Amino acid sequence: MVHRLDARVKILFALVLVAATVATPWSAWPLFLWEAGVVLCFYAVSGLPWRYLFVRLIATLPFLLMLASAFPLSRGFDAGWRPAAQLLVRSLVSLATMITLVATTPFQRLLTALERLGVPQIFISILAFMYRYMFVLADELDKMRRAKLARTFYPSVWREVGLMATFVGMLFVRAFERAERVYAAMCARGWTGKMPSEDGR
Amino acid sequence: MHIQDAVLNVTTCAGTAVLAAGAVAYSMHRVRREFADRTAPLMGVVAACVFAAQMLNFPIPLATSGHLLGGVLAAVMLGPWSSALVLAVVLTVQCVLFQDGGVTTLGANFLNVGVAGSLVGYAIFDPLRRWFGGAAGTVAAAVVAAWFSVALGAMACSIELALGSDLPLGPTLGAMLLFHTMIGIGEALITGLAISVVLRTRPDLIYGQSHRAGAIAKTAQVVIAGLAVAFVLAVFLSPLASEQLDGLERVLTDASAESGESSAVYATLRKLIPMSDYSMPGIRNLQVAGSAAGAAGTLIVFLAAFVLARSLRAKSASLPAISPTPHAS
Repeated sequence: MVHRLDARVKILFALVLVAATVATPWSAWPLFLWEAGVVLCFYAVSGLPWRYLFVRLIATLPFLLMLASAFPLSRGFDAGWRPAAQLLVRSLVSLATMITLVATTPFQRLLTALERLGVPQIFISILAFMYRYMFVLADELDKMRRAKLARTFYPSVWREVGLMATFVGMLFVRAFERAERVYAAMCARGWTGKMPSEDGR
Repeated sequence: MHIQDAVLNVTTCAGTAVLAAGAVAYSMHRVRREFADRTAPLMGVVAACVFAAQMLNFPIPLATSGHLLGGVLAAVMLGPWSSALVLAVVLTVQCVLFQDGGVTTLGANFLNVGVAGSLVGYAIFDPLRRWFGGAAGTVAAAVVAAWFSVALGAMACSIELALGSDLPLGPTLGAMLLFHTMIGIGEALITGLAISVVLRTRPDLIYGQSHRAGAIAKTAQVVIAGLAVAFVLAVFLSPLASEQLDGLERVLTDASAESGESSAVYATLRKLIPMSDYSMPGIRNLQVAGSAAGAAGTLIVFLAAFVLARSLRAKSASLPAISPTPHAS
């Protein structure tokens, strides 16, 4: 059900919820429960596995804890625990909101919705191209890494840095060459700077 | 430097978002004028490439690992405006799909990575490249620019944190500089070596080598001089200055107690000024350590640029000659 909602509605709702969470002061702490409750309800209705949400939330915890611990460290525990707790709660609720949004909306539909919400069309086209080639280039990088593992027997830090730089340089050269090929192929198929959208509009 | 949601308060988010939106809109305008209907495929594929390159981790001391940001690398090959646009797209995808960085802090993250990396990075790179000259000069300039872009991004991030989350500026800056000096050296080395790989295989891909170089040189020189002075002042003088600033803070406290007004000004200043009442004695040391790391990093990176340039110049027979004057295109 959540999956089939209009993506525009979902995007706007998620943004409002994140903004509200970030703006909620600690003195109105019961609001946090409401905000978290709304997100978790949506997540429960969507029928996604809970594991998925928790794994993603826990993955961000080390960085958040490091930043949150800066408050008690710089001001003492009594004055510092409240901003730290506030940071953690707000971050986790915002994260859960974004995870729910993305997990229930295909990327292509997200892009169409963003375009109808007024994001410049050129930005949307670039995003679409990036999404299309992101995994292709990540695979290419992986291929290079595997080829390196098959050939280097005595790893050293300096050689590692040099090889990494070679990867990056070659990745850029290959990406440029791929972009030229893609552009030529698209010109041959009538590209004029705009992507024909799914429903022909 | 990917700040998560809720770390910054609403006003800071809004302010940085407006600044970032302006920078993205202007970049978009420049890019469309330059690339016309090639914009979307070219920027999209290069953004995918930057995204993939950012997945490469390198180990750094004191922390588990740092990863490439690629702002200067993209700017050297695409020009500053395209590179800023590419990084905006990369950050958007990282934020939306991978929850790496928040939605409300997207603007702040773009200032730290996109503006500091591409626009400021290129403003440092371009005059230096002319000054050094040749293929080796391009590599050396990229090394220096890459380090400065990471350090300046870390500084921008600390200022945002101080304004947006009540953390004191001094220790935050110290901690950020401490880590990002090392990340910056990794970034600088990889950027320089990657550029030399590109110079050896497809030298025509380097931006400004063949077409209308020299448009922003004058302004860029002013910018780079200003930045360098500001950076050196911040890094070398902040531990010394903070002693005096404690005094200034006391004066401000007295003044606001007497007059009862200007409390808003005082509150802002107090956030920016390192506080004197630390509960942990290690905090002040962190600040000094950060400053020392920043200073050491500056020296190391200039040394590295020099060594790289020398070694490349020695075997420059293998590098294709690059004419200092732009050819007609």
